[in-house]
Order: sequence, then structure tokens, then C-alpha cells
Amino acid sequence: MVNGDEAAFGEFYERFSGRLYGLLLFLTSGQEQIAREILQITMIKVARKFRVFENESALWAWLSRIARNALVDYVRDQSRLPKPVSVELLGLTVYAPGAAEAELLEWLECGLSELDQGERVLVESVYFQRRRQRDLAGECGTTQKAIESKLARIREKLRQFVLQRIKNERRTI
Amino acid sequence: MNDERSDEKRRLLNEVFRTDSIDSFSRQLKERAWAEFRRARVMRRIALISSAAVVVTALVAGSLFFRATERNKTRNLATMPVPTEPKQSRAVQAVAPANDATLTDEQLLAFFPADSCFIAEVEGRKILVFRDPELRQKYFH
Repeated sequence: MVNGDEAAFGEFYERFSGRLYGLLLFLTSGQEQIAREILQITMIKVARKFRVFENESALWAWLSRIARNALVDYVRDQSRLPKPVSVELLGLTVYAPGAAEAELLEWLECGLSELDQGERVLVESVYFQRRRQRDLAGECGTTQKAIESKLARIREKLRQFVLQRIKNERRTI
Repeated sequence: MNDERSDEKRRLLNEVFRTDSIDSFSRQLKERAWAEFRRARVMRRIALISSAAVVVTALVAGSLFFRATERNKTRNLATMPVPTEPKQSRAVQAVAPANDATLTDEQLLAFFPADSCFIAEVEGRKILVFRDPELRQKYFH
């Protein structure tokens, strides 16, 4: 990416945009509109300033810091407008990104346990055992497209579950 | 093992929140980020080329300046007064009164037979020119 490799940027985007969006949803207490706006700002900053990191956790620490700073700037800018965003939003930005992600992962685990048996097995096979969807389709006597659709439905279910937990958590703060 | 599961969970979390699956927002975001990435790459290249150009220009200017200085030095050596001048002044000093630090042109010419020589100015320096080379030999052997 530092050398301007577009394929590398594509891979980076695929691997981190979702994680960043999840973190921003957590930090904004599930306010999707704001989270998307900050995600956009973050991605543009990252595209401009990318540099070399020793490992993935150092990269993630940098990314989450950029996201959090972008959110703080956003809240500050908004507070000058006639209809400012909630000041409480700023309070959440002090949440360490590592701790925020740990909570998200915990809620994701809860979400997984809420899935029915078949769905859980599919997620386990694809994401934890890294089995190929084509092989699973062959074993189940179905098409790869059907497996992909099922996985998309499961991901949406998990997304809604975690989002709901984020919003509920907000009410308890 | 636990770490490995955490990594896989992070991968799943990324997939769950990857906005591709939500709406067209992601496409727009990705396009904007790509555009920014390309712009940053172009800027980096321009900066690199500019700094290389500055270095090359500095080297060329330095070498031209050095060559010009060398040429000037050579030219100065080539136009230096003939070595007769110091001898001439020494000879003059020998006959000149001891308390005279300098001589005027007329005083200098007065040391030699009338109209046998004259003072010429070459590149800001005065030199004594004899009309007859033999006479010059007589005084500056």
C-alpha cells in the first residue's frame, strides 16, 4: 500500500472496513449515520497517510486511533452547529478501542449462541475451520450460491443482534 | 488456540459489519477511498520526482559554476603581465632614491633614453614597453 499498490489497498479495505465500522458503531452507540460518516473520513485519512507497520495489531491500533480522533473532531464540529449531536457521544470516545472491540467480540459470541444449530455449524465451518463454500455445498447437496445466501442472512442476523446490544448498552450508560 | 479463535472472530466481525452487504454506501465509500489513495500516490510520486529534479539541478549548477571558476583562473594566468615587470621595477628601485616608495610614470620613463619606451595599460596593470628589444635586453638581462 505504501508503494501505491491498488490490489493491496483493496485487500486492506476488505479486511478492515467492517471492523472499523463495528468499532465506530460501538463508539457512537449504534448511530449508523454518524458511524458511516466517520468511517468515510477515517478511510480517506488512511488512504492519504498509510505507512508501514510491524504487525496487524499495530496497524489496528493506528486505525482505531484515527477513527476515534475523527469522531472527536466530528463531535466538536457538530457542537458548534445550531443542532449539535449529543454531547454524551464524546464521552464514549474515551473508551479504549481495544476494550470496545473486546465487548463487540463478546456480543458476537452471544449472537453466535443465539443462532440455530445449522447456522452455527455453517459459520463454524466457514469462519473458524476455514472450509471452502464449494466443498460445503457439495457435502450438503446444494449450490455454492445457496451457501453464500445463507451466510449473508446469518451475517445480517448477527449484525442486528450486535447492533441491538450496542444500542441497549447505550441506554444503560 | 484462543488467540487463533479471536482472530477468526475478528474476521467474522469484519464480515458482519462490512458495509458491502448493507447498501450502496460501501461502494461510494470504497470509490472515494480509492480516489484518495490514487491521489496520494500521485502526490508522493510528484514529490519524489521534484526532489530528484532539485538534486540534479543543484549538481548541474554546481558543476557549471566549478567549470566557470576554473576557466576564469586559467584566463587570469594567461593574461598575467610579462615577467619583465618585476625585474624592471627592481632595476628602477636600484637607481631610485631610497626614500621614494613609489614613482610616477614620468619619473620611471626618465630613467631611460627619451622616446625609447612608453607605459601601456593591459587589463588594469601598467607595463613598460620598449620600442627596441635590444634596449630592453640592455636594461633587463
